[in-house]
Amino acid sequence: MTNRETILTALRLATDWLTGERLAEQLGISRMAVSKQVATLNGMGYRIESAHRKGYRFHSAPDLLLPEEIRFQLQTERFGQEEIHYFGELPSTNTAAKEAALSGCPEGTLFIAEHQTNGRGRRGRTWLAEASHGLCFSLLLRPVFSPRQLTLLPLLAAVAVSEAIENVSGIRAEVKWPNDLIIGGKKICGILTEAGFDLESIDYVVLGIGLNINTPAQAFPLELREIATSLAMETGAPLDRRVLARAILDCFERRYTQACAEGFDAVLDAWCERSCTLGRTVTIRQETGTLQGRAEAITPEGALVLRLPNGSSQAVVSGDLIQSSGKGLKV
Amino acid sequence: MDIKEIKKLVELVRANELVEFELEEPDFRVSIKAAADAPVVYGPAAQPQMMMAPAATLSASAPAAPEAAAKDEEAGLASINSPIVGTFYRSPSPDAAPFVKAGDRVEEDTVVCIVEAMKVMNEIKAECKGVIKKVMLENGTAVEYGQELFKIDPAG
Repeated sequence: MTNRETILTALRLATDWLTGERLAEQLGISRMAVSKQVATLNGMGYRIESAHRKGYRFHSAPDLLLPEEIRFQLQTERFGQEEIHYFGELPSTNTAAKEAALSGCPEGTLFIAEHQTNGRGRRGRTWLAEASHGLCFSLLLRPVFSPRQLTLLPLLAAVAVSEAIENVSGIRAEVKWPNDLIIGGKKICGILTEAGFDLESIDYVVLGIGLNINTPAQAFPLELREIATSLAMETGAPLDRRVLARAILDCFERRYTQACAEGFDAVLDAWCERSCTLGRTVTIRQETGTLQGRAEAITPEGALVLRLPNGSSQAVVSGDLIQSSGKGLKV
Repeated sequence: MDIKEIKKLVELVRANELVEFELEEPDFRVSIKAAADAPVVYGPAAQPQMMMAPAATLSASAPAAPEAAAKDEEAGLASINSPIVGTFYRSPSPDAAPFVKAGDRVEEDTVVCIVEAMKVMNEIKAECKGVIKKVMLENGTAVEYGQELFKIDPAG
């Protein structure tokens, strides 16, 4: 932890004023240095009061996803604890994370942006991310399991984010195969996983998560209003993005650590329990054609097993999934 | 006759300080001459010795030249295989230009395609320097674990 972060945490946890002298003593720095750090924090958007003889008192933190904010009371062992790369604006956190992965950045490093100018989705599509409405981040992983288990990570991520949303807001987001999160038939979260590996081992995995939190309905373009939603639109009240970010890291680390140690059985069970795809008639649109059938199960690799109209079954590994029956859901 | 046996012959020639050694059988001929500093090994009689890749120069069992050349041309090509079950994409998005096409020169870390499974976008790298000779599959095709995606000429 940097001196600045230690000062911030001490002030936050203090019930009363803290003198510059005491802070300086704790850190082994001069009172002048403490005063400089407090000025920097105020410049970052924090509000720390100072008064002659009394010292400093914490007033409020900015509504920003600053590393200091993510790390404050973060429960994880590793994820987000070491490196957090924070950007006010960035083309894409996944792209930044991939570049860092290739230059040796460690597992658990977080890339977070208030605003993405070129947020990416599947097959070159865009993910819309307005400043300070949502949460856009990418997590760098270096899993030691076999590349053949890599396809389960997106399912694991979807389960973890759904659990985090439930813990924070009480709302249960359902999982649409393989990793979209859906509330009331509308998309609330997208996950894009990019990986570099060979036949034997995984080099890196970048897991990009885009979550709509405080986005108001009018911020969505017309063509998205029927198919996208935000947590605030569903609960009727804004949510603290920092609390959600910490909860996601926490749930994700728990699921990931468990999967690395014991395999993905528990994740697959949780996925099935939260799934809104299984048991429905679905259409899969691929670049070479379209498939229709009843979604019956997922394989141990995470592929979706469809029962086709001719009675045969087929495991699907990619494509856009359109759910066309049950609760009139169309996503 | 394989490389090990040829090596043994070379060692024998050197150990006995022979200046020249020749062995001829119906399907191959080996001739070893001691140079000033090292013995020289010549390739099969039927082929000019310098046209093959280094490994082929020592091959002493190739009988008919044209057939062997065709085989060796194929054998000289390396494959880029899929490390994962998934869907093969030649371009980053449906309307973008392909990552590579036949005739393109690639480096070890050139991305040649994407294989997608469960929304994991896996960028496949060439892993060896050379020229792409053949794209084995159409865009959007399902691929199996280890399936051949490209043929590449490492010497190209």
